[in-house]
Amino acid sequence: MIATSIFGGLLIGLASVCLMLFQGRIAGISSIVYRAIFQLKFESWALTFVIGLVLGPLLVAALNGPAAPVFDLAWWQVALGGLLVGFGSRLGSGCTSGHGVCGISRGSARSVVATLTFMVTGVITVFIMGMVL
Amino acid sequence: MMIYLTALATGAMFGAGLVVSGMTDPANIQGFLDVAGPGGRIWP
Repeated sequence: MIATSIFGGLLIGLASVCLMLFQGRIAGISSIVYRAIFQLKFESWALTFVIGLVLGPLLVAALNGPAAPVFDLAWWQVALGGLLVGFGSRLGSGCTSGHGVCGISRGSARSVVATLTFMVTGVITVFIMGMVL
Repeated sequence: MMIYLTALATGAMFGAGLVVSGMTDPANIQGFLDVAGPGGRIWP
């Protein structure tokens, strides 16, 4: 379990470094998805990256068996959560990958603030939801 | 052409990393953020 976590983390970090090296871009997944949808004309590589993002897990599933996320929630709860995550990511100029993985590694003060904010908010949210549910 | 190959490869690597590390499992993320522990106890 620890070994797979370390190996997976290495893959994420290595992919982020490779993207910066070859594309000169930050591996902020929410921003790349945004570009793949709205700026495809200028950033056509973004769509290719997103396709890779889907193919990677499919490859792991083919080798290791499927590992689909399990949401123990109603569809509207998942949809509401997704909406809040999307809205917050756009408002905060990035998500966990862009701020947490790339931003902090690059010593960006904005990313440190963003990451601290969403981690603390996450802890508070889980605490409150634990009392409500 | 080269930028598409590297984009595809880095995307696949990132996605595989998320699955292998267990970051696609909501239970993992919630467990990590659940510093108070199951049941909301601050102290064990």
